[in-house]
Amino acid sequence: MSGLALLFLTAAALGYGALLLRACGVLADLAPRERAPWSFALGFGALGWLLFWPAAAHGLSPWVMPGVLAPGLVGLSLLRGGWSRPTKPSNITAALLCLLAAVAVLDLLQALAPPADADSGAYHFALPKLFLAQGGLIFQPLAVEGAVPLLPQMTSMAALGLGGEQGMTLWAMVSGWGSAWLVWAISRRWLSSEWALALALAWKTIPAVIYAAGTGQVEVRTAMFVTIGTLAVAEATVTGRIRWLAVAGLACGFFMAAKFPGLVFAGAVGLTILTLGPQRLRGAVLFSAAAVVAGCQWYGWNWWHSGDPVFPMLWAWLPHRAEGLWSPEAAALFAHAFIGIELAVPRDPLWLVLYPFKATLAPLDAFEGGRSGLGVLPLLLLPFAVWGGWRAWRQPGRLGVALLVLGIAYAVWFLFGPSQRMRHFLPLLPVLLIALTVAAIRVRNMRAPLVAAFAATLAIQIGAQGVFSLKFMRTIGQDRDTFLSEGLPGYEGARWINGNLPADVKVFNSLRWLNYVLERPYFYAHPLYQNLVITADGNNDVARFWRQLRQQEITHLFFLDRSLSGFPLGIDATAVFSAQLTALGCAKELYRGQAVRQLSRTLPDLGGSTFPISVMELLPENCPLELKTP
Amino acid sequence: MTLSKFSQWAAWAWVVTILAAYLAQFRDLLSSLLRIAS
Repeated sequence: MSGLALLFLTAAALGYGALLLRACGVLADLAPRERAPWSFALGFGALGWLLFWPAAAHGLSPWVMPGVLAPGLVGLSLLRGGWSRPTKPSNITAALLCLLAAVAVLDLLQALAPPADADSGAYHFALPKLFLAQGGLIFQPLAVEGAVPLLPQMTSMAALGLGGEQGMTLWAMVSGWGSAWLVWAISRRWLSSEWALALALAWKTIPAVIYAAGTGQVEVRTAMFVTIGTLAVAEATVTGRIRWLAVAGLACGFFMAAKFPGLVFAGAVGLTILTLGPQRLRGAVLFSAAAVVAGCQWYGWNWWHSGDPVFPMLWAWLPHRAEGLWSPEAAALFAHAFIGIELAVPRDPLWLVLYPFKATLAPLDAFEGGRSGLGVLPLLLLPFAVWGGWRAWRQPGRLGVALLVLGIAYAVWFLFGPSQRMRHFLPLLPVLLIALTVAAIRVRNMRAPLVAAFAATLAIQIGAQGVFSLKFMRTIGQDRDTFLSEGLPGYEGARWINGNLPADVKVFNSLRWLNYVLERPYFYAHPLYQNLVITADGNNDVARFWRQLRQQEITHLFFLDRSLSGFPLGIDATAVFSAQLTALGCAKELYRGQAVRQLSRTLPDLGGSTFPISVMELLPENCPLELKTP
Repeated sequence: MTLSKFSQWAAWAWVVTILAAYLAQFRDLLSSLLRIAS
């Protein structure tokens, strides 16, 4: 069933994308080898866009999702024909294809294992599961992980609904490969088969891609939108064909509907159109109209429910906001803890230039460079590309325009964005890698060091993916519970809740990565991102904590010791409040266990630490605080 | 040394230096891997 669902989703995405490219009038302009990957990228966005509407209308009945997907199959006929007969591959091509196949097998192992990524468990996969259970979208008044654009998660919802959990993880694998397919197909315009395959392989095994492609993380998928968006605006600029700006608008809109940084990217493309594009005003109007139609639904959804389309960024200034969802206190905590942690170097022109070097060679913790870095290849290629590319500077072609878009987007995000995690720059990387490689191989007499740079990069990255995949190799023959027990700290507590609490409870859950595996209604108790139950102990107000728990109709608490929660003291004080509630007779402990947090889930032999977890039942009938609750 | 020869040496030096600097950040992980493997 999961395999059939995967085929259905893939075919529908290809078909819808082909229909969109045909509707924009550019399908025939693309080389046959590029039509399918461009279609998949656009179709992935189209699926997410189409699925939003029945979900928002709470119409996710069993026949709706197949009904939304099926019309896309019509578009498959547009992708037939035009292929050249494959020639006998060279030895290098054959070797690279073998390596790609090996990477695909490792990805398949991950896709066949249950999902255990923390962010996916917290919301990328947890929200689709919640929406399916509720028959439609439920507004989540949560910064960063709730009231945000969720276009890719809509496609995960369809995969989960049609193919179950394995359908969803297989879909993550396939959509993760979409960007590699694009890198190969687009780079073939300028590169030989060998270089294009090597580049696609290098992209697919970048640490951030290894980390994110098989999960619900969105950057690998939004990389498809950035790639076709930049190439489309470049095509319009070079050829003067304004119709390409409709494609650029759709790509930017889908990125906007997938993640807030899409707004920055759309601005960069818009600025490029206004300065270089054909028929600047008409072009800008066409681009903007396509972007608004493709990308604004989630901003409308969040505005409708909270009063802030980019919750909670404009909260302080907008009228008609839903009171209680955010507060000056929550904003101060958020700014202090989140912004303080995510920005490690000054946002100034000097660091704008230094950041890629620092982040690649000696990343600070805030960059998350180790496990989700952007690899060493861009830096290795840089001097070759500068040398090979400077002659083209006076007459920039498509890649020159694309680099301008990327440069604007990078500068705006770095100088004004809220985070310096390397992963946020990942969507810009495919086109950058293509441009760097195309420029680098122009340099004469440098083939040997360039090949060595590629070979070393591939050896390091494929080796890293091999190590990363060890935990999935261990899952062969292992049941779901055992895998999750080993991979998710505190899973035993979630299993106890699922097996012992009745269906009508509501669990306050501060172990965010367990949202997905909880089979009971839960309240996502993030200490920073929400204002409905404030866990900070700044004023040690247990009465307010109790009142807010009761207002949210919470019946049980599921939490871990605050000193190990990863947040500074004073922000997550659930354990302190729980002890106070117990002393007052307002709560009693039902379950206590030990959760193991491994230093590395990939290499459990490196050891880890244990911490206590607890499930408590609230006892309002005995609680003196209940009398004070209005 | 000709300019061409010098640029080739510089290119090799760049590749080796950057790779070494990049891998240095993973030395703890690599030594752990070697320890586990042995």
